[in-house]
Amino acid sequence: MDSFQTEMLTLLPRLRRMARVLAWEPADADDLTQLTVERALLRRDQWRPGTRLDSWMFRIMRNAWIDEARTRQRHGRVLAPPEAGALAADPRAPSLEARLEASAAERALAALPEDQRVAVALVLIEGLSYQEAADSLEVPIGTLTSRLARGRATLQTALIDQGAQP
Amino acid sequence: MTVPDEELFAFVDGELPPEDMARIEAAMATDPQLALRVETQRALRRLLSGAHAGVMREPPPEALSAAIAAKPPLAPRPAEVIAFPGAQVKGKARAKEKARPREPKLPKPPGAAGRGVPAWIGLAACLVTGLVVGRLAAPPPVTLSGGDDPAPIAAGPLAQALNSQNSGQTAGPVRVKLSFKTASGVYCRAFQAAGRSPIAGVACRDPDAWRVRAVSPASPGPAGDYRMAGSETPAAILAAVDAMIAGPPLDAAGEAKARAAGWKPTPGAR
Repeated sequence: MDSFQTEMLTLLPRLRRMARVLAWEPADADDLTQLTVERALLRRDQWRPGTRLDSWMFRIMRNAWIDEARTRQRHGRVLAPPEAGALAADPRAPSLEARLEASAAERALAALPEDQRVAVALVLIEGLSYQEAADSLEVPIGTLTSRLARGRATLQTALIDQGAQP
Repeated sequence: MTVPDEELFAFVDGELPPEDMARIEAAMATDPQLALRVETQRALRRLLSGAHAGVMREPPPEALSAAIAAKPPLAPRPAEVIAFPGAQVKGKARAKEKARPREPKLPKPPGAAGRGVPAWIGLAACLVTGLVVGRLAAPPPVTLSGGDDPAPIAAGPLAQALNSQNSGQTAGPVRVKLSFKTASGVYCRAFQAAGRSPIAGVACRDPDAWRVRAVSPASPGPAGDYRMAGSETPAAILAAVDAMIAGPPLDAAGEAKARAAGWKPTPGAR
């Protein structure tokens, strides 16, 4: 292994966490992480040393997720095996088990529209700067901050105004 | 003092210039309303920072760490893919294009060493014109017609499918998986062709024809079995798509529109 791979290994827990934000179901999230890692390794010559590996990999993950979502929609197929049934076809309908185990914050986050959810996750969970998050999403910084603001407003209603304790 | 929401968020996120950070910090001391708004946002940050924290504490699955560690350092095994030079992707995409192989390259697939042309090349050769399969004697076992030639043109059932088939259709010898636009507005489509040795590839629309930009044998690949539907497309082709795509893939309506317009490039519109 070289330093690129070592750094990627260090990032794995955060990549898995981000994948949960996108895919929710643990098995799907790890499949997404696997695909992200494979793509990142294939495209490592496109990563500029000295820049942040995390935001670069979040971008790859985000694009991989868009591709997967498209394929899933097209094929009427899901990340989970077919026997998982119709529930799994809708990422907003997580399994009962996953719902019971999730924290209030996780449930509120999962209920956000995807663009707001990812913006919130990159900045508030992953701690990326606005610029880094905007780069990861390939959007202007103004788009990022407006998604962030809308996401925050919804989360505040769902969490703070409902009296959830930090 | 009135602090708009977005400025307040930027303060909580540490994104304001130092003088503005100090100004709001000072105002909080005398403005309980402002202090409460800040505290609310800080509480929200704390709540969210713990989201999905469980996954951070558990060791990642062996398969994931192994996928990273198993990759040979620095000189990655070349992907089993033929990439063709292409001239039609211009402008912004050029920077991305640099990262793609310039020269046609075709490493020997495992098991095919010195024993002729791998089976999947046969199918590839049936579907495109201008793919010249060379003599078998010395490595590399297969050559293309030359580095300066334009990418081969899709022929027969492939051309037909690229012209008229909806993405995601599951019948027929050739299936189109995905349509997308490059930064210069050129339409490209990723496809798979069934057969004893299935192939996958990506083709982009020239004014007069579909030019195949990359071909690769389709699964079963050494990477194992993801359950993701998209993994049927080999990683090398996904990477080729990644390198060219601008914006999200086309949806059904976008595809229908592009088809109706004869797949003519639509620069600018995304």
